[in-house]
Amino acid sequence: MTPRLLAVDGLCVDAATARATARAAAHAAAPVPILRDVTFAIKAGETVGLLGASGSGKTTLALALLGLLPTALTARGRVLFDGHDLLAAPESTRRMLRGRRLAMVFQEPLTALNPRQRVGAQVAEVARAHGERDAPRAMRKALDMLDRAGLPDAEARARRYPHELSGGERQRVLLAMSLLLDPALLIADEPTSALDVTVQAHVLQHLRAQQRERGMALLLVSHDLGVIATTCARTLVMHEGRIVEDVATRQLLTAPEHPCSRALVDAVRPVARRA
Amino acid sequence: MTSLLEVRGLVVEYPARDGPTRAVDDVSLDIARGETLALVGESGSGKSSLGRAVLRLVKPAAGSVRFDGSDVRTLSGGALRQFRRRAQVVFQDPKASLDPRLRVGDIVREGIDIHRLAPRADADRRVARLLEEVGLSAADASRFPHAFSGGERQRIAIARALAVEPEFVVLDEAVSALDVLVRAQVLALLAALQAARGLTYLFIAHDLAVVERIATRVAVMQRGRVVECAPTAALFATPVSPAAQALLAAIPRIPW
Repeated sequence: MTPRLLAVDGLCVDAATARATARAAAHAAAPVPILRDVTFAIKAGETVGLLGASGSGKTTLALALLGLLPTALTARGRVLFDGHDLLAAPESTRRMLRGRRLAMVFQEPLTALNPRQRVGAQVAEVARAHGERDAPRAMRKALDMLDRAGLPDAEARARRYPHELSGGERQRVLLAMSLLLDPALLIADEPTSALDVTVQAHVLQHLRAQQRERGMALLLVSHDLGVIATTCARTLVMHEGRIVEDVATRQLLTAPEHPCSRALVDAVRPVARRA
Repeated sequence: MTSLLEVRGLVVEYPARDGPTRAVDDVSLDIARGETLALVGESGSGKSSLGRAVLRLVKPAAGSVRFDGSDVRTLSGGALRQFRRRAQVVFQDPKASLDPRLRVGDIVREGIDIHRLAPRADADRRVARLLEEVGLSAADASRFPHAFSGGERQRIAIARALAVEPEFVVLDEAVSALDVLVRAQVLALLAALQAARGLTYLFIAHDLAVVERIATRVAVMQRGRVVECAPTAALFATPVSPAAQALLAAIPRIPW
């Protein structure tokens, strides 16, 4: 049996302070999502989708796994990764794991990238931050990774700034950054939601290829079952901060159990197949 | 069926350092009263420029747009005001298209006041009715846009567009920023409003999966041109142009 790479046990995330709670209440239409007793595991090399409507807590879960929660939120429970409890481990341990073993692709590449640095240098910085002392070698690694992430004419594009790239190109830069150190688990939070469908198809294709090639585990966060169903063997359905269903994706498509899962499946069902 | 909108040889250009960039290149199309014409294509293919030119929000470099028989480019005075009332638009991002400092009621009633469609007291009742028609409540009129979710904000934008009793609405990626569940609800709302009010839609989208649910016909754009235009079922069954084929192939194929 493949060992568990990540085991999340009874993870709860709460708004920590009175001030944060008051703010959450004031934004009644967009409440700060709070996780309740989230438990699941991911094995090495497994592809898992995290499906849910906006506000269901998907991004909060992704951030909690990485130890990147905003300070107003506090996490309880256990997140075991590589034998470390990420919630209890010192920041130095988490920093060592992030990038090297556990990487993330964010939804909005324009805010995830530094606007004042050329994108090639930003990818190379990942290598340098994790011990590559030789700058030219770091850059060569970066260019190679940009190329494998599907960035056309990577060498020329590496010299550009983020604003000079299209949304799809920027997302490939993020993908290159996250894959550079060959992580064991990649968390991708709505990596294609801001892209148009044709570009989305290309980015997903590269993501799938890299996942297979590396035997890397993938947690793909999306509200769109179409994106998850073409990429992930298993799906977790999130609703109001809980995991309400944890099944093989195929089974979710044919026999969704939770009403919330049914709604998400119906939303992508082709017109002709709707009852 | 009579055409509400007739576009002939439309060209839209934007100034650029090395000569004008042609965003819309010799486009002709008709939209019949009561139908939904979807306009699809990759980002940058000219969909929004075409939508804006049709509404006279950008000035075309050449070609003509006729709305209910009259040339949109030459309208002025009262006739232009009438056109502004009869043709409305809902944009993609309701965060950007709703004034954050106006209450929802004022946002929705602004058009009613400008076009003097109802006396003050009536206008309030009308706003309340509109908010309920789009699935919000009359009490929401006193709240500000930031208090609403993305889907609710898009409902506000729809209520604002409908407030002036339009016949034609350009929906420019109006559901693209919404998550799949909210998107399905807003699409259902748009279809219900169309049936109740006999509206004509120009539905701009990059996602064919969304279009399949709402469009009567689909026009595919690529590099400023309409390369294919067909009834929705026909386009999905037998796409002819490479652009349409590429868009169809990009829809995630779910292994049902």
